[in-house]
This record gives sequence, C-alpha cells and structure tokens, in this order.
Amino acid sequence: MDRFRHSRRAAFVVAAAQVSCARPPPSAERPTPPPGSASTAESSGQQAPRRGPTLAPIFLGDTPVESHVDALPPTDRPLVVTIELVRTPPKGALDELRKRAKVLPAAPGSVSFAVVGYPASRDPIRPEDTRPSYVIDYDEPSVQQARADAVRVCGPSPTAEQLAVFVDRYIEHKDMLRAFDLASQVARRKEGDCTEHAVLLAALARSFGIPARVVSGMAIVSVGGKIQAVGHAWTEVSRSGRWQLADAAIPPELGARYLPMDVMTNEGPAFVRAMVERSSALMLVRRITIDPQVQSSKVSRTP
Amino acid sequence: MRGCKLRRQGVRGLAIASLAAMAACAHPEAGAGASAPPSSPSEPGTPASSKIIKGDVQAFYAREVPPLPKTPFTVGPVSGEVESAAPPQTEQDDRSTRLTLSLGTGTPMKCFVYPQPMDVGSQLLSIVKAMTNVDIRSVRPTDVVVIGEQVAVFVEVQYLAKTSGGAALGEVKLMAYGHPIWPLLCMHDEVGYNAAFKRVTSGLASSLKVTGRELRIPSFVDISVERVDGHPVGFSRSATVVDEQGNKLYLESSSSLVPRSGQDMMVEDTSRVETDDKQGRLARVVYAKSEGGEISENLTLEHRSANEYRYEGIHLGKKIAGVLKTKGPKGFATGTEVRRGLRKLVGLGGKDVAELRVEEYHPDLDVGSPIEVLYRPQSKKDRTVTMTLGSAQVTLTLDADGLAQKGEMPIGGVTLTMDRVLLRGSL
Repeated sequence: MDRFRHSRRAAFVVAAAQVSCARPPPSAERPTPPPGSASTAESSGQQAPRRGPTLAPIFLGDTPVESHVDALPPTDRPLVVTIELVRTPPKGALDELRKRAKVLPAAPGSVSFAVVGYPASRDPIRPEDTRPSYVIDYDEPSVQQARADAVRVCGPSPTAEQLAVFVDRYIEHKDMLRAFDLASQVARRKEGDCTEHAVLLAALARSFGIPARVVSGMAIVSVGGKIQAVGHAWTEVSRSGRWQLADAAIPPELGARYLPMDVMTNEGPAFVRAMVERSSALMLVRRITIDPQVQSSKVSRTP
Repeated sequence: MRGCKLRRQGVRGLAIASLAAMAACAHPEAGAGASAPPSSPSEPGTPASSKIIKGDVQAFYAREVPPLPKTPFTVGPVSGEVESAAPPQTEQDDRSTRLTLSLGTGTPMKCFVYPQPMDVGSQLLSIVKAMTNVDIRSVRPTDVVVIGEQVAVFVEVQYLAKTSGGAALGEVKLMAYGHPIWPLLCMHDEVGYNAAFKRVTSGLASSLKVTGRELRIPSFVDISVERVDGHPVGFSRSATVVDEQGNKLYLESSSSLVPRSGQDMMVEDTSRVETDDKQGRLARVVYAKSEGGEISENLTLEHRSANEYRYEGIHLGKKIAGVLKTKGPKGFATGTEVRRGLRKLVGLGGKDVAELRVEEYHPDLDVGSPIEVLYRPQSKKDRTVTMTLGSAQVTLTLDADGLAQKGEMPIGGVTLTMDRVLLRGSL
C-alpha cells in the first residue's frame, strides 16, 4: 500500500546517509587498475574504461570539494573549511561543530570554520559512556571474544591507540555493505566500514574501562594527492578531561582533519531515529571548500 | 559457484511465513506451490573458462547481437520462450529450472527460474559477493524495469582477472526478476552485449509460465523506481490482495542497491504486510528486512487495544519485544485517513488544512515507538506537499487520489527521486 511507502523509503535513505562513511584505510583498498585491460583482453596500458553515461559519484558519503591548498597542512596548523549548505540548517544541527571549532565569517548559505588539530570536546563523562548498551554491547559473547583476542595481542591494559590498530586488523573485510551494525554484529562478522570500526572500538575501549563514544561528521583526507571530504564515523575516548580522537578506520599517519557533527548519545534500539533526528548536519552539506590558514584576526571564538 | 548459496528464506519468505495463520498460500500473490530451496547458479567471473581476446576495449563494449528467433521451451511445469541462437539447454531439479542460452557469442547466458520468491537485492548481491576470484572494479545497478507488474533489476559488474597473459577485464551482467511465482535470475559473463542481455532476459521474464500455479491478481498495484541523481538504485512496490479468509492485505516490498563506493553497494530488501481491522485501524504489521543479504529484522506488530500495540521479533540480531502506544487515541493512522488528509492539504477535498501530522510505524528507525511524520502543503496547483521525518524532507507530488506519484529528497549534494512507473487499480 502506498500510504507510508515514501516516508519509509525516505527513512532508509536518510539512515543510509547518516552513516555514510569514509572507506576504511586506503591501504585496504583494492589495487589500482593495472594499465589497461580490455574485455577478457590483456593489459595494454590504458585505464579501465567506463561505458555509457558517465557515472557521477553517487556515493552518499562523498562530497564535492574545492580545495585551495595542494596538500593538507600538518594537523597543528589551522585549516579553514567552508561548508555550503543545502538549506537553512534546523536549529541545533551544527551545534557540535560550532562548539568545537572556531567560527569564521561566511557568505549566506555557508558556514566556515577554522580547525586546528583534533577539535576535542570537554563534555563530562556520562555513566553511559562506560557501560554496555544496545549498540555498544560489549557484554555480548562475540565482543568478549574480541576482547580476549585483544588481550592476547595488546596485553591486559591496552591503550585506545593499541585498540584502534587491533580493531583495524580485526575487521577483515573492509567494505561498505553494512549500514550500521551493533558492536556484537561487527565482532561476529568482522566486516564493515567506518561505523563498524567505530562501534567495535568503542565497545572494546569500554570493556577495558576506557570511557568511549561514537562520533559522526566529516573527515578531510588527502588520498592519492587529491583532497576529499567524506562522511565519517569514529570513536572518542576520554583522556585528561577531553574527548580525544581514536579512529580505527583512518590511520593517523594520513593526517586526516575531522569535523565532528554529532555525538551518539542514544545507543538504544531507537539509535537510528536519534541519528536521523539529531544529526542533520551531514545531510546539509552540499559542497566543501578548503582554504589555507586565514589571518588570525579573522578567527573568532564561537559564541 | 564457490560460496554462492542462494538464500533459502528471504524477507519475502519471512513476512509471508508469519502470515501463515492468515493466509494459506505460499505468497499472498501466489497460489500454493513448492517451496524447495533455490539452487546455486554457476560461478561468474571465471575468465579461465573464457577465451582471452586482445583488442579495442570500446569496441568490445559496443558489441551487440540483433534480435534472435524466439524458441519456445517447456521444462516440467515451467514454460516460456526465449531468444537464442540455438535451442536452449535445460535442466531441472527441485531447486531450480536452469536454462543455458546461446547468443551466438563467446559465452552462453545462464538463467535460473526458482520455485519460491526471492529478494532481488540480496540475490544480486550474493552473486557479486561470490566473485571472490576476481578484482571487482565497478558494480552498479543499471536499470530497473517493470515486467508484468513485477520488477526486474539489472546490475553490471566490471572486474579484472589474472590470466597467464596478464590482467584481463571482464564484465558480468546480472538480472533479477522478483516475480512471486517464477522468480528469475540471469547472468552473462562476457564484455558487451548489454542491450541484448536486457532484451533477452526481459523477453524471457515476460513469457514465463508455471503450470498449476496462478498469480492472485492484486486489485491495486503501484510501483516506483528510485534514483539518485538520475541513476537507478532500487524500487518499491505496493499491492493489495484479498486472502482466502477475505482479509485485505496491503503488501509492500522494496529493494535498494545504493553504490557507496566504486566496488560496494549497500543492499537492502524489505517486505511488509499490513492488515486493517473492521474499524479501519491498523491491526497487524509483519515486517522483514535484509541488509547486505542477511536478515536483520523480522518483526510483528499487533494491535491490542485502542492506541496500544505489541511488537515482537528480531531486531538487528537481537530478540526484542514490547508494547508501544500512539499519542492519538485510535492508534496508527490508516492509509485512507492519510490519503484523505493529503487531499485536503492540496485542496482536493473537504476543508483546507494547514498541516497533517501522522503517527507511523518505522521499525528501521525506532522499533519501540511511533514516528511522527509531518506533511505540509507546498503548492496546491502542483499538488505538492512536503513530508518531514526527522532531518529529512521529501517533496511529494500527489495524484488526484492523494497518493504520491513522485518524491524528491535532497541528500547533501545529491537528490533521491522516487517516480511512479506503474499504477493499476485503486485502493
């Protein structure tokens, strides 16, 4: 029946968009096509061809980027990121980013931020950030098995960084077939993209007593000399009063820059609803512009 | 095919099985029939079995064959006709009827007719996932077409394979046709002949018959194709049938194959069967969903009293059960109420209203609570309304009955559209 079909389909796509994700570590990607190749034909030095109408990127995780820098600066240097919005953001949609990054003047319909390092949050630790939940279900047997494996690999008190590397290796199948799996599903399937890496890392961290949570937003990365902005999810762990980055999907040596847009606070059965209702920022991003460092006089603290 | 096991019970099967107490048939639209598990097709992407050819790539892609004579065939209860350069080779067991078809090209086309419903997206994905011996460079849905009020989805996979002479490019074309009685899966592992593949498989799908099994004709069918920036990514199909007990069943099914990278598609199949009670309230929902070819949700919602419902089943692999209440005293809105309200929004009947708020059940989003959806008029002249669901806003174009015939939703830099491609009957 047609009555709610469109809202149901919209719900699916919205959920998919919310969890659109950077592909896990570029090192895990399939090799670049060898020069050329034809129909069951041997290599001849050309790029694998595309046929028919050009297939524009329709990956929900990719965002057009206009970069005025050739390469990402070191993470301790500011990067100016301007987000062209699809429409006026609902109230609160960009609050997480505004809370963490410095807001710059921007043209109507855009918002601009200067980001230095990882924009860590000073949110207090909630009891929920240490407990098992419906999504971060580290009390499930499959996660407990992963924990036991982590102890074997990293020792009895691993750091978040060690766990990030462990999770990267533990998830054998780096693909984007899954929308948003629970930690127990990830530990069992050992498959997924950034969201699966993030929830499993959060679960393992909590299981070792490290307060952890899942954050979504955008990552700006340079891959193959091209600067890309992708929807991404990662983990934050609390350390020294700040929520610090722990990313099992993008290794730190890539020097990715992060734009946190939503902290996952609803980890119950309605977590997708909460993401759809809260994390509208990713849905609003039409285009990203990357600029080099602005004059410090232009940088103002977020109100 | 190594690792390519067709799923024995898809979401259609789950939803239908849950209806056993209500309907005696294997599928609400199908007559009673066998329900043997489907068999596994042979493995595509095995260029070792293909002839290695050198030449101009574009020319290979441009290869086609003109229409071929149609050859009738009968294999047990399955019959039809198909274009073929030679009489089709046929095999049959209790798992499938298999056709090997020659287009007069280097590699034959293979088709499988199954005795039970299949999930289109999951079935296509299972073939792609089974191509473990090659390096997949591109996978994408290329077309979604309606054949006889059912939907067929076409997918193309381009791959590289190691050969003794170096890397070779190959292409597998896939087609899955989600007919409730004669679901069909076809594949062709050879570069080019794409139009021929589509023509031959579509013709075969439209000609199929299975003796002794008849389709229960729905009184209403509505099919939409979904596209992202114009590229087909899936479909949704709604239908109403009356079961043998006289209950009116509202059936919805959908498949989405959304490319998320060059080599990955996020695949989802859903099936939902609803019944209303005599008072016109939503009485029961059976919902099943698979993600990435694996059942992720299998839930039943039952009306208990007034605005109270009980839900029970599997949600993301966990057993779950509970009671939910709608804010409204009468429970979830019915389709009739929503259509009536939408018509008022665009001035098609009754007193004009400024907005319509409806409580809906979306277990994908929240298994334990109603979701409030807000509709507002946008243009009475164009019969457009906006539908707001959380942060998502969809613009719907309504027909004269208040049914959505088009939907459009911007998602970041891309736009999802849902366009009706078939409507028959009325609710």
